Formats: sequence, structure tokens, C-alpha cells
Amino acid sequence: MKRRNDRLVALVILGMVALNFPILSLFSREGVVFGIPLLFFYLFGFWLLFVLMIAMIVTRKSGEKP
Amino acid sequence: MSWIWLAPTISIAYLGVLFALAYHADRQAARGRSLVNNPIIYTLSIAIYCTSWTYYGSVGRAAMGGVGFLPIFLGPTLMAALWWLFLAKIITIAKVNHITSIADFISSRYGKSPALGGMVTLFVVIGVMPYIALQLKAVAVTLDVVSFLDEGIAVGPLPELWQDTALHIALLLALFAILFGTRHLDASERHEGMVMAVAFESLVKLSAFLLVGLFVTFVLFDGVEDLFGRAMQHPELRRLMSFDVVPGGYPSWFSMTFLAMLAIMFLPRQFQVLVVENLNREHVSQASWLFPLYLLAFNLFVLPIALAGRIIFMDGSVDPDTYVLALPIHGQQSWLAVCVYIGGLSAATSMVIVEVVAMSTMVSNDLILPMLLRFRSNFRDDLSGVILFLRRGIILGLLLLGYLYYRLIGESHTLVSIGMISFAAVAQFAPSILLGIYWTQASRRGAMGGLLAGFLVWGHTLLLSSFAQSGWIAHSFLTEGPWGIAWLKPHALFGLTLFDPVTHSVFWSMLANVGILVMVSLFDRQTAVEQIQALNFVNVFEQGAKGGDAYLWSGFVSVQSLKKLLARFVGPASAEAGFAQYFRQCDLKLDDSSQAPAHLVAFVEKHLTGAIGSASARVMISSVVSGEELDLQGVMRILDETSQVIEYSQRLELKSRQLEAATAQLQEANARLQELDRMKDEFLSTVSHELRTPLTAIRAFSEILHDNDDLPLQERHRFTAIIIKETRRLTRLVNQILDLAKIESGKMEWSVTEVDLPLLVQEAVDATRQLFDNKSVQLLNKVPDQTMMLWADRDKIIQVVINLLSNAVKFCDAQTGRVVIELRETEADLGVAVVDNGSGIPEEDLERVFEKFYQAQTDAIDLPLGTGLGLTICRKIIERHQGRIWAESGVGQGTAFIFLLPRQVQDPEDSGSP
Repeated sequence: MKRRNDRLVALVILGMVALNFPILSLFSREGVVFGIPLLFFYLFGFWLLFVLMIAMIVTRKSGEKP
Repeated sequence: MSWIWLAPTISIAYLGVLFALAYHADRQAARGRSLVNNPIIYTLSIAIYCTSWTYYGSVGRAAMGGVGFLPIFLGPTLMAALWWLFLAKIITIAKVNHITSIADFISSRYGKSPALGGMVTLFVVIGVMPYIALQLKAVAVTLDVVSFLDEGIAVGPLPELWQDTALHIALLLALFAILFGTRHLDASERHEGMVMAVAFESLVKLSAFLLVGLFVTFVLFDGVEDLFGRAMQHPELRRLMSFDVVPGGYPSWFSMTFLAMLAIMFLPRQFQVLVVENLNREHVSQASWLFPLYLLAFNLFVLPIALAGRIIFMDGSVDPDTYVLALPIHGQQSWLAVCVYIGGLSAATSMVIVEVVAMSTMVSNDLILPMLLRFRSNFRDDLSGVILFLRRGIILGLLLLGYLYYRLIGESHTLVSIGMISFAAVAQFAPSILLGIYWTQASRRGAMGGLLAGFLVWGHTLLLSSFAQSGWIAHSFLTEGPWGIAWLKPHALFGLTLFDPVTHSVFWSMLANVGILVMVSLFDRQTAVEQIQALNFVNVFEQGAKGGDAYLWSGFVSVQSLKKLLARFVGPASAEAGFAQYFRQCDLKLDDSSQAPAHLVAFVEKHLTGAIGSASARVMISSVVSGEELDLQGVMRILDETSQVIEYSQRLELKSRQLEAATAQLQEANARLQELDRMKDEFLSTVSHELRTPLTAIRAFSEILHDNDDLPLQERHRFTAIIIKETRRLTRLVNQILDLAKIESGKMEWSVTEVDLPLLVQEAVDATRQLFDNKSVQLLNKVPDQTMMLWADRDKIIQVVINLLSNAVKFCDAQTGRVVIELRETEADLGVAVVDNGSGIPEEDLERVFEKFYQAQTDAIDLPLGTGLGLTICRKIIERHQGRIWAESGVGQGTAFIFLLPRQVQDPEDSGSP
């Protein structure tokens, strides 16, 4: 259980870093991926990845008590 | 058919459907078949986070600020990942303590303080009111848009009060909130019907929004690529795709993310659905990824819709906040517009209903009831009706207040900026709650100080400044500061001009809030109730953490009075059932007249807490418990008794540890004694054996001489020589045993004088010269002929040297043998080495040669037998002089016996005894 908590905290730290200055500024430039502007693509792509990672962490070994 | 009539009719019909759904869910719940007990419904109910602000406002903000709307949803996404840590703990605490609101949570944590609960409630009402006004505004504006579908969009001055759509909506929502939230009083404050309706609405608003998104992207445009491609042709819209257009830049992005992280937990409605309405803590883990997924889906089409709106309404004739509605109208899709309107209505109504229900619980339990009960704590009638009536009145009051705010302020602000004011307000609760559940030291005064400071800063930097912006107070408040004091300018406190207003406010209010909470707590002394509650909250997962508050009541009260008290607030049937269940659970058999045990009083208090809040419950209990509520001394006494028992047992433990240590020492001593005893026995048997050998020889030869008179003279001589030799050996042995015994018992006399070592060595050499000559062993004295003085017992040292020399000669071969005696000296020591070229000693025996009766294994048969005590005595003598003696050897390499004596030591004790 301790490990699951640690993983979640690490994930949130990763999210905070990836979704803030200066990482974010790297994507604030012209460019198109699959017809979608680079910044939009990065934000929504990371968002989806982040959600999938939460899902992966919490559904693994579920049913334990915190 | 006119839309003027159709749109309101559809609205009311939709709300009717919702109510039917809620009613059905409530009926099922009453029958024990919960419809909401699953993670999907739980997730959808959390989605009341997406209000009309999300629905219309996000597009409005995106149309002007690009991705600037996203932090409001990225924050909750980040926070959702931490739900399993924070939320699960908060839910457990709330369930254990029957907590039903944020105000209750904070007041309960900090010693069930009524003042704190009231303060939090007041702040919630002030802080969240703009948010409710915002929803009323959204519904009113969109209803007007839809109502005039046939005639185009009309934007006019504010209508007369009684014709104002917003007022009608406020009244209608009040009615529904009363129907959903206050149909009956329940100790757990759970409303399954409301949750069901809210979850359904979340589904409706998501579907409607996705529908618009698909329509705009694929009908008005030819897919994503076409839409973005056309937007990129306009330099102005092209800028929206970079970060440069985000208002406030990166600091604002960060502070909004931070605020949204806290808002998702501590907005009153979020706390209601996340904590109070939670049925199973396990749902949290599923919701922690399903909810961010919902948010992601909701925001997928925000940017496309915003860009499409900018392209289509290039002239700026349409307010970006209404693009969601205006685009279907532009596309001639009236029914789609109505769908959108219904979606927006869902977003607004679900938020308003849950928010005001949660707030009415707070206002009644933490603001009005404590005051009411304080003044008249001896109501004797059924109070549950009064409380319900009170709550209904509060709901109506809150919505009218929201309307008033909208009327006075709402017109001049965009949707997003109003919402952020509320976010910044509820963020002030985060320090007291999050620190409160992990840090036992956080104290009531600290929490009060922190909250007050945070809210004052918030009020000054955001609320009052928004009043100033809308012209409600003088604009010079903003530009020159209150009363012209420049460093109090609400957007540049102390001259800080780095940030946008929201970030600026968040920075100062959080600094004040956390700073004061921590500093005051560090220097504060908590009361007994505070300490017990702090431990209850922080250690909620630990076994036995609950029940500490059972000590808090020590007076006398009958079971019947408690039952009556509970019945007055939750109704007689529910009270009776609660008691019966508790009696079963604890295996209690009490009649109505018997005295209630402390834990029963605590149980009733908790049950009451659910109905009327912790602070009020406390007041009520103290009104029926005769005898004082346990004061600090009382609690300390109880704790003291407990701590005495603990101390006593600790002392016992210490004692038993000491006993164990003593036993171990005794055992050790015993083992040593046994060893000594064994050694003594061994010594005795060895000594007697050693004595018997020469005695046997003497006796045998004496008998031969005695019995055989006719022995030849030669034989006779030989035998007597043997007898003499053995007798000498016997004498020597006895002398040495006596010497050893004397040394060991400390009775040996020592006469320490200054002696000249080379002289002493020469004497020993002279004394043993004959031995060497007899065996033709060469003896070389290499000790230099010069004076070297040291303090020693002369005779004893000579004895040592003689002993070493005679040993050496014994183990040397005749003819080839060679013994060298040489000087050894170090800075501190002076000594002698006797080196032979005999057979040597195996390494493992180098120490053993000094043991008593050790006899070297040797092939030479004709050796004069030693006693086996010589080296032992040598060692004793040298050690007595504080010197060292040891042997160095290897088999076949000869042996060196070396002793060293300290140069300077003159033991006064030794010299004193001649």
C-alpha cells in the first residue's frame, strides 16, 4: 500500500513538472501534429497519458486498505 | 409555436424528470437497494465540478486566452491522483465522526469549536455566493437567447425586477433544492436521490457538449484539420495556439492549477458529493481515474468550438461566452440549440442545488443552531421539524442572496473571473484541513488565526477589488489604495506587482493563512478536547484511535434523557432504532432509568453531530448531562491514571530487564566459578600425578636396595644416584609449587631494588655454565658490558634467566647446540632474549608453554625432566614486574624466549615490602 501511495505522489510530481514552466514553454511554438497544433496536442496527449497512468496504478492490486 | 413559451416549459419539464428520477432513487434506497452505490455514479456526481462556467465560460476564455482555461481542469486531474491518499483519509474521518460539512470538519478537528464552525460557514457563504450568482447569470442569459430563437439575439438593459428571468430561475431552483435536499432529516445527511439526479445531469451536459463539438467540427467545418487549418490563416487566431496569449502567463497558469486542485476537494458541493455522499471508500480509487477522464472528454472540443466561433463571428458581434449556443443557432439547428441549453441548464442546476443544500446544512448546523441552542437550550418539543423548516428558509435565502449579487455585480464580469474569486476563497480551508489531518499540533487558535488572515487578504485583494471594478465602490480603491495608502493597493499589496490579481491574492492569502496557522500552533497550548480530536483525526486508521472522546463526559445522565434528546432531533423511531442497534453492538442491557455510561453519551453526541453539527451537539449534550462537562483537569486526571498504569508497567518492565541482567551476570559468575573449580581439580590431580612419578621411582629403587643386599656396588651406586636425582626433582617440584602458590596468593615477598641488568645476566650465565659444559652446548652472552639499571627484584629475575637458560640447553642437541643470550631494548623497556637452535615450538603451542605442567613433546628420552612449572613461574614473576614474556619460534628454527621490563617503574608498594 505504501508503494501505491509513493507511486501516486511521484506521478503527481511528474504531472506538475510536465504541465508547468519551463517544460510547457518547449511546446509553445508553431507546429502541427495530425492536423492539431503542437501545444494542444501535447497538453491533451499528456493528459490522457496521465489518466491512464493513474488507472494503471490504482487498479493494480485493488481491494487493499490504505 | 413560440420559443418564448417553449423554452421555459422544456426547462420545467426537464427539472420534473430529474425530480422523478431522484424520487425513484430515494424510494429504492429506503428499500435497501441503493442505485448510487457504484463508482460510475460516484464519478458522475463528482462531475458537478463542471458547472455552466465550464460549459460556456471555458469556450469564452479559450476564444481570448487560448489554452488559458485548462488549469481549471488540469488541477483536479492532478489532485485526483492524490485522492487515494487525502480523500480516503478525509472520508474515513468524516464517517467515524459523523461529519456532514466542511465547517463541521474544521470545527470538529479543532476541539468542536462553535466559533470556528460559524466562521468557516460565514466565509463559505461570502466566498461561494459569486459562484451561485454566476450560475444564475448563465441560465438567465442562455434562456433569453433560446427564448428569442426566432427573433435573433437580444441584448438589452436589465429588465424590471419582477420580469427578470434570473429571479424566476432562482426561485425555481430554491424549490427544487428544498425538494431534493430537505425532504427529511437524516443523521448521515445523505441524499441518494439528489446524487442520482446530479449524476444523470452530468451525463446530459457531457453528451450535449460533445454533440455541439461534433456538430461544429464536422458539420460547420470539414473535420479537425480543416478547422485548425483555417484558424491558422488568421494571424490573430494563430497566436491562440501558443502560450503567449494566456493571461498572466506561467505564474497565473500555476496559481490557477493550484486553486483548482484545492477547489475540487473543498468547494462545499464537492465536499458534499466526495465525502458526505460517499457510500464506499473503494469507489475513490476508481473515481480517481474515471473523473479526470470525464474532464478530458469534456474539454476535447472547447478549443475547436472557440476557434470556430472566432472564425464565424469575426466581427465580434457575439459574446464568446455564448459561442456554444450561438454556433448551433448560426447553423440553423434550433433543436440542437435547445439540447445545448438543456446541457447548460443541467450544469447550472446540479451545481446550485448541491451547493445550496450543502451550505444550508452548514448554515443551520454551524451558524444558526448553536446560537439558537445557546439562548434556549431547554426546548422540550420535537426539533426535527424546526430544523427542516430552518433549512428550507436558508436555501431560499441563499438563492435570493445569489440573485442579489448577480443583480449588483454579475453584469460587469466575465464568467471565469467570477469563478476564480470563489476558488480562491475555498482554497483558504485547505491549510486547516490538510495540516489538521496530518499534524496533531495544529491548534484551534492557529486555525482561526490562519483562516481569518487568509480571508481578510482574499476579501481585500479579490472581493473588494471586484466591487471596485464593477463600480460598486470608488475606483480609486484600486488605483490609489484604500484611503490613499499606496502599499495597500489590492492588486499590488506591499508594492508586489509581479503577478496578475488572482496569483497575487493566492500568494499573499496563502502566506498569511499557512504562516499564522503554523506559527500560532507552534507556540499554542491545546485544550484536552482539542488534543483528543487531533489524535482522533490524525490517527484515524490506527486501531483504538477512536473512543478517546468517550472520556469527555463524566456527569450523570439517564438513558431515557439521552433517548429523548436524540428523539427531539431525529425523531422517536429513528432514535429508538439507533439505541437498539448500539445496545446490540456493545452487548449492553440498560433500562431507561439507569445511568448512561460515558461511551453511550459519546455515541449519542456523534449521532446528534450528524443531524445538527458537532458544535451544536456538544451544547445539547452538555444541557442534559448533569454535573460538569469534564474539564481539562478531569481529562488530565483520567489521562493521568492511564499514564500511571503505563508508567507502572514500564517500571515493571525495567525491573524485569534488570533482573534478567543480574541473572545473566550470576550465570556468568557461576560459569567462571565452575571453570575455576574444574581448574583447581585439574591442578590438584596434575600435582599429585607429578609428585607420584618421582616418589614411585624413589620407592622402587629404595625397595630394590633394601631387598637385595647382594647387589654389586656399581649397581648400588647407580640406584642411589637415581634416588638422589628424583629426590632433588621432588624437592624442586615442591619448591616451585610453593612458589607458585605464594605468587598466586600474593604472599610472595618482593624486594625491589635498582639492579644492573648485564651484571645480573652474567650471574645467571655463570650459574648455568656447568649445564652447558655437561652437554657441550655453546653459550654466547651478547649482552654488552655496560651499566643498564632498572627496578626489579634481583633474585627473581636471576631465577627467570636461569630458568630460560636451562630450558634452552634442555632442548638443544649436544655438540651442535648453541644458545645466544642478547639484549633487547625499546624506548620504554629493557629485556633479554634467550635464543636457541633447538627443535622449536609449533605456533599453536607458543602460548601454552606458559601453562602449568605443560611438557614439551620431545623425542629426546634422556632429557632431564622438567617440572612443567618453570615457565609459569617466570611469567608470574615478569607480570609482577609489569613486564611481558613470550616465545617466538617455528618448528626446526629454534626458539627465542624474550622478556621485557619497564625501565622506570618503581612500584612504591613493592619497594616498601622487602
